[in-house]
Amino acid sequence: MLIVNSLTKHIITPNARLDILTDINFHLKAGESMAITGASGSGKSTLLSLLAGLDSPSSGRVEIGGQSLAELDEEGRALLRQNKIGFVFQSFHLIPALSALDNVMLPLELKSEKNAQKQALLLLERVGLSERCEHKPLQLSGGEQQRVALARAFAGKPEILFADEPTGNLDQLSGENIIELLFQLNQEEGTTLVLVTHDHSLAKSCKRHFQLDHGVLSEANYSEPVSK
Amino acid sequence: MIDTFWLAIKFFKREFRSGELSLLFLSLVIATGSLSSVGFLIKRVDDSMNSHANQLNGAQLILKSSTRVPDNWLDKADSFQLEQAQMQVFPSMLVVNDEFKLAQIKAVSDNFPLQGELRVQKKQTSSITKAPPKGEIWLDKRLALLFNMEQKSHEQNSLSKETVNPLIELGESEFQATGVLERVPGQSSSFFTIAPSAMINLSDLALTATVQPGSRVDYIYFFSNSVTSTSQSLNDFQQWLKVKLKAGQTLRSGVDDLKAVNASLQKAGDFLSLAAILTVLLSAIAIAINSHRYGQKQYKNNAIMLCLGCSEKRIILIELYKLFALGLAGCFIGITLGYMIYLGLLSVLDELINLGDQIGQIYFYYMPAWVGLICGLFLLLSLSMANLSRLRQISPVGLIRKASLFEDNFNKGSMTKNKSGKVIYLVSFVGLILLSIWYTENTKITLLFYFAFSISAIVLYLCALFILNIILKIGRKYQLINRLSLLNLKRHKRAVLLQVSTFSLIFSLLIIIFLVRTELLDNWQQKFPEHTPNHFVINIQSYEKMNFEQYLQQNKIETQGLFPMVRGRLISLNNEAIIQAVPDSAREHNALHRELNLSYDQNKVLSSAEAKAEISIERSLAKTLNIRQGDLLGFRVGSRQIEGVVTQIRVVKWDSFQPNFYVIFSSGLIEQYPMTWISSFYLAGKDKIKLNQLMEQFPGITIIEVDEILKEVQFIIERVSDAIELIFLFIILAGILILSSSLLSTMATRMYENAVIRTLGASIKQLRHYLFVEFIVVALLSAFIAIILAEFAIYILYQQVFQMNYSLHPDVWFGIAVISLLVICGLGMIVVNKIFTQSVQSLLSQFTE
Ligand SMILES: Nc1ncnc2c1ncn2[C@@H]1O[C@H](COP(=O)(O)OP(=O)(O)O)[C@@H](O)[C@H]1O
Ligand SMILES: [Mg+2]
Repeated sequence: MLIVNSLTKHIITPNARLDILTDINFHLKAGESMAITGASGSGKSTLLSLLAGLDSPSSGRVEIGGQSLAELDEEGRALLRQNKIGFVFQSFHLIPALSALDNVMLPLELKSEKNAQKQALLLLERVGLSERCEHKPLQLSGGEQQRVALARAFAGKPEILFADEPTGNLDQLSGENIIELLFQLNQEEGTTLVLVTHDHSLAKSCKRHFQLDHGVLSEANYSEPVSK
Repeated sequence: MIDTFWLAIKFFKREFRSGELSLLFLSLVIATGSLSSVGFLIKRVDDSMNSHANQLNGAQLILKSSTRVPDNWLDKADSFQLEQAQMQVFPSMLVVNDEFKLAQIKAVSDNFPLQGELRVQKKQTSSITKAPPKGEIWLDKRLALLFNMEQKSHEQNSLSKETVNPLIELGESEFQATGVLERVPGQSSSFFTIAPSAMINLSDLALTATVQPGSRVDYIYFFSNSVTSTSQSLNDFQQWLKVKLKAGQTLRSGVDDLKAVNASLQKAGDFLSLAAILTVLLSAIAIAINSHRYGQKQYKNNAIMLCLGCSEKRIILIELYKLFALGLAGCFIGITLGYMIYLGLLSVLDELINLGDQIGQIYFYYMPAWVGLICGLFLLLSLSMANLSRLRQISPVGLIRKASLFEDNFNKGSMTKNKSGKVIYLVSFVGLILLSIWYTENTKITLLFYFAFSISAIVLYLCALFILNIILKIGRKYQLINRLSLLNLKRHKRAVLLQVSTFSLIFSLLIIIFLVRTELLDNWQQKFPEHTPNHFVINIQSYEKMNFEQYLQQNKIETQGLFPMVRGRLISLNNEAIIQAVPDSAREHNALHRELNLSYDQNKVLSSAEAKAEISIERSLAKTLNIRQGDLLGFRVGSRQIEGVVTQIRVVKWDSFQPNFYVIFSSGLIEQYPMTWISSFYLAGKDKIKLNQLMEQFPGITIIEVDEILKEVQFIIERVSDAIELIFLFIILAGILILSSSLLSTMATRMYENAVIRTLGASIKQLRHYLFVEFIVVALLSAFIAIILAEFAIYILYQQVFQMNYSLHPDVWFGIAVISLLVICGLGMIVVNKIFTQSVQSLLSQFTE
């Protein structure tokens, strides 16, 4: 499902070259789940956006579902995102002018789905926000915004879902709810999960666990995947 | 205090470098740049028009008196350091070889004319000069022809180089006729004084002994600013003099008494005022849109500052310092730029805006620079303060939460909920009007314009809302637009409305200036077609009429026909003495104190003999005297009285060179009274000799030559047309700049959103499509509203200011719709193009709100 080959990313600043990611390699099968942990600033968010095709790497390749991202043009990548990829940003990136419901409806509308509103409402209900549909993002708490962002990511029924610290802003209970939701999706729909997290229980729930350290990715030693 | 100042400067530097201020800064530069350059141009053109008028008059101020004025009046002018010249005009006989001719003698002081050109032809070459030297007399063309002077000198010229100037007797002295007058400034004052004229030096006058106590002499005094006097001196002197005038004394400046020139220049002046208002408004739009956007961004930052413990007062102070610094920098650069553009234009077009003598040196005007500076600073500060005033109302955290609602509430929430903001908007608006009045120097047109414009703008805003709703409804029902575009429109209804309001405002201003300019120029071109009558004939007796017409026909002279004229005095209105019947303000009106030229309509015959005569009256006169349709007017003609009912109020085009009458009767009544006929015709310069034959054949008639004046008028109007064209082009340019900057600014707030939508997998095609639909709706709606707004404003302007006929302009509708589509869709797509070319991640980090 997800194949990454010698992926690097660096940035040229006026003073120096900043290597964010160096030589990342891994394979992920369809339906697998994967957790990436690492210190803040180690490059997790950068890696995730490269994987999802939101940014282009300095070198190396990313393949999703047998399709190399680099070979696609912007149009093709958009189509891929629309149909196969879901993304939850660390900073949510909800559209401030739109209500929670409208935000969740957006991916559905992009696909011209008929009953977008109904589906969106259902999703909001699932993340426990059915009462806050009409509220704008900044009227919601961080956790609530995170759940809206999740609902939005689910809305497109993605084959692979990238989530950047999806439980980072949540309390114990709602965190667990979200995790449950994620794996439900993983199980029911066979969605591949790529999660960035600090949450050890979440990391353990994943089939595979990688650690990112100063831009270098390594699979964690203890490999006793707990399947849920 | 000082700390805060330095903090503000630090913030300012930081924000300036980060580019956050750049749009606002740019808009300020554009706004003040166009404001000042248009202002400079307008001032210059205005000066140029006045200067042409002065050249026509021979001076800036002319005092005409039937008696010699007290010496202290002239001393006063001296004390103001004004230049002076004099002319005495009286009829007298000239004698050459025992031939007697009546002439109007103009005795002028040495420095006549103060301004303009006195052009004299001497021995086949014409030159520009001052008054004739002692002992010489200059004759106008007709006199020269009468005395065969031209031919004589011509013959002599061909025989020998020596020219013997003919001797002419005037009173008790003899003069050498050395020149033929080609152009005499100050002619306009003797528009209706008739005999051919001759000019001598004033110091020779006493010797002729032609002026005796009791002779009828007009004393004309010319005043102009000198090099040493300030421009205010003349005004002061004029004010001083005004109150001292007695009967028989008139004071005039510019083109007061030259109706044709006056009306044209008046219109040109009004156009310039209009252009000025539009420029102010355009600038205001540019600043408003961008300071609104800037305020939105700052709002959030300030909320965070509040949370960090910065007091509200300090924040506002910091903002003020920052804006002030920005304003000063922006205005300074804008005005400098405006001045440079203006200088550049001048150097290219110095022929066009050639001011002639006297003020040719002045290139800089303070007013446009001041208006630019104050307008820029005032609008920037007041509009931004309206945003800042919101800070007071909510707790710091509430602020952060509300920060994003702010955009949506701009049109509704913030305007109604925020009271002090509302007051500040009102203050801004009033300030804008005051600034416009200062800038245009024309209160009437400014107030009228703002009144018509704001009323229709409010109505149209509601219209736009309504139409947008309909589009949404119909679009959904019939699937006319792609669903996503529809949703996009629906969600951004307010943002779309803000855009539509802005763009339609800009478009309507451009339509207004375009239409007024086009129709004004057309109007002028039609007004003086080739062969516009340039001679008037009055005092044609009824028995001569047939012969006169025949004569014109035989000599192939183009004429507009003959019009009957009876002199009569208006004495009553609805059987009440006229002085009592008119409003107080009109009692001094000339028309009540002298005989009017009455005419009758040769084609309009009354149905029955008993019916009251019908009267058609000129509109402005009717207005001043408060005469309405159906009123009964009484006139005294000779010793008899006649009456008529007003059935028509007529617009007279005074700026056409046609015989015009204030009052025209239906036929059948005034024919019985002593009447003369008036006519006008065209005569080319080379045919002027025919005038003498005409005079010989009809000795009683009086010929008024306006050919020189007409030429002058045509010249002025050509110049002014060019100037108007130039200012028009300039405003269009400014308009396009401002349109683009508004588009940039209104779209900038939505770039983030578009970036997010891209992360969700919107294809570029999809995004393009739905932005395109949005632009099309915005473009068409803006065009639609702009057209209505402009048509309405133009209707009012034509009625109230320009006195032009109004009709709808369907061709412009089509044009503006196309332009609007091209510009908004085209520019819009260019502005949002960034979204399609950059990687999603960089977009997100770039546009994070
Ligand atoms: N556009 C950028 N410009 C400069 N530095 C960047 C940029 N993007 C990421 N970085 C740097 O790269 C490193 C990794 O960032 P990120 O992937 O966000 O880390 P995290 O693991 O906390 O998500 C950080 O040090 C960050 O400052
Ligand atoms: Mg991160």
